[in-house]
Amino acid sequence: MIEAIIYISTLLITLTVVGKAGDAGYLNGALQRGFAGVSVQVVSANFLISYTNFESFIRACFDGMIGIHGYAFLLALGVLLVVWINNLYEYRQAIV
Amino acid sequence: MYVGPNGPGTYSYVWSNGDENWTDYYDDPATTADDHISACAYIVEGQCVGIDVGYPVPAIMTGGSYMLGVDWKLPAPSVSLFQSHRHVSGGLSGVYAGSSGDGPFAYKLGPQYFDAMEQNETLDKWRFTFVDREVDYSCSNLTNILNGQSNIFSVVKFDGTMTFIYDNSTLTYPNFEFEEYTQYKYETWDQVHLRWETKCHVGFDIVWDFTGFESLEISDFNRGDWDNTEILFTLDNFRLADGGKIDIGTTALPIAGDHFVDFSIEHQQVSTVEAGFVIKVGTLLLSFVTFAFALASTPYWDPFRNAFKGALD
Repeated sequence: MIEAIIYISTLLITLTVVGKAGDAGYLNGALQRGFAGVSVQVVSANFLISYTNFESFIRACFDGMIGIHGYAFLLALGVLLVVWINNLYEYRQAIV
Repeated sequence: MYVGPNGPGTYSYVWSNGDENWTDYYDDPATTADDHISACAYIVEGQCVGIDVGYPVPAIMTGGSYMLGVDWKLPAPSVSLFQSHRHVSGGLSGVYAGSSGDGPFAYKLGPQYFDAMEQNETLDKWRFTFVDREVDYSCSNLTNILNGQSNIFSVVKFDGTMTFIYDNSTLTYPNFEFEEYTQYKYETWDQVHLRWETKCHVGFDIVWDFTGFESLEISDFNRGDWDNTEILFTLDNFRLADGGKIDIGTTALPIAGDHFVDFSIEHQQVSTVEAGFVIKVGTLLLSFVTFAFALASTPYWDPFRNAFKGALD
């Protein structure tokens, strides 16, 4: 569950980065976009999981260790993901 | 560490000593004096179950021989834990089976062991040191001085589980993983040559490092009441660091042998008030920032465009 949130978040960021690069005239080939996308996601997901406390922080929020503040953060994170997914559907990029 | 009227092991137990029943090997029919010890060759959930003596025999930490003191070889006051894998009387006195089972090795510690923990503080990390101090080894060539064995030390990996017990409730952290070199090095004064000498024992120290969130959870769990908190910790799934399967019988471990292992606890604590304030206020700020980021991700608000509007226009 926790890792799924991280992977969804990094996927959305990846799609935005690749989309912006495409709009700017870079990464025109499908192979280039695919390679760049996978690279960005693998690096960002591994960074969040391995080199930061993000995973344990989200887990602590879920488990109620941080009380109502943790749930407020989860709500904010949920809103952010919903907005990004909606943007992806509407505008083909997460951040507009 | 507090020494109670009945010694440091009063409410503390060896919970599991390798999960292999060596009772028959250690039970000497010629004498009944060691029945309690041979019964403790197999311990299940803190009870010596090797033989039926008609009543529960708790596997108290020191096996009836209370030893506690400042051992300068260890970093903190230590207690000697009896490992119960050896004959203590009869014609086979001192003989060791050569194994104690593959694990788990588990210990239940009473509040006497947390006497140095301040009330109303919570735990940041613990360091548990285990040293088999009865045999010295040379550190330089890794040779057993007594038996001529070589490469006595090795790098081992194992898993740990820590359970806090308070007010009939438990709080468990199961996912600790340790990688330790089984050489415990210390300095000793050589009275013959009048110089300091480095010596080594089989031993290791393990650090139970709790995240800030876990520290807060522990604080919520026992309310900082360390005078009434117990712990049960388990060490299991021992393996060689290079991925090879470990042979407990031939790999020297301080907790899987015979006679005694010395054990000490050091701790690092953190103020629950300070930690809680930083984490909770930080989380609240992060929530606002995330909300703002979500809003900024929509076409309705672009803080960068608004901030640099004059420059862009």
